[in-house]
Amino acid sequence: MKIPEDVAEMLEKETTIKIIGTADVDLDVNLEYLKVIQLIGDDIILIPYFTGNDRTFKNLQQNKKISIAIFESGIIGFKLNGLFTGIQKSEKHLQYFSNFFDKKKLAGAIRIRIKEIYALTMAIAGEKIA
Amino acid sequence: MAIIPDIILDTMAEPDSVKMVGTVDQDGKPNVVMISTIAVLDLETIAFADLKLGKTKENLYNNGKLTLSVSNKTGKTYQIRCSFVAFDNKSEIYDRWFNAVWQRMSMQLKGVAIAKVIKIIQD
Repeated sequence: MKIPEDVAEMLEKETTIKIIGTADVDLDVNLEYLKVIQLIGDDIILIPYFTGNDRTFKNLQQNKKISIAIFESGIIGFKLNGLFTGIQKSEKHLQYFSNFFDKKKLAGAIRIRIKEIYALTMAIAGEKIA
Repeated sequence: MAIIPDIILDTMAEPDSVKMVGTVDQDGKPNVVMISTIAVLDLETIAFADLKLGKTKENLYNNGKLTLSVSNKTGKTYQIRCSFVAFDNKSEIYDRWFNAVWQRMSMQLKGVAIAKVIKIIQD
């Protein structure tokens, strides 16, 4: 699957709202607001994780499934479902996120493979995009 | 049970605040959607509109677990972990929202989801 261009643009825009949903083995959901996501392949994204009690990272170690809602202006949006496939700690990837976050708090980047995308825009909400 | 603190009530009242709901299916697959209409019925009970809830509704009926998040424009986020109670379409809030949603969005309100607050998480 290739992330469509309009979705990719929204993912990489700093101004879009991005909420990351993960769940632990007890099916408790954690939602995290994120400022930046890096697209590094047709269907691969990176999200940062931090030192200390990073609940998203902790959940993904127990349950690899993730759901990401992105939207802008509260009107146009997409939901991306994917799987945690590993972490990146290379300087190259951390450099990107260190432009936005305190480098001391940044522990690494979580690599996610996007498997499916749905519309969140109200009129067509639930429609499969890719 | 827990009660919603003032800081979250204030954030919810901000016009630019973002409200999301996350649920999960029995296989652990999370589902995150935006909420357009939300209200605090009392400090332990929240209601939100069902305009086009599909997977969310299915998950709520299956395991009753949900997390609401409220973020302000700086990204400060609060999570309200809840337990689903019911979908309502007979109460006064349903009637009130039905008209308001129709006027604002030209969409028909299907129901109002009611949830009890279990835990507050401040990130």
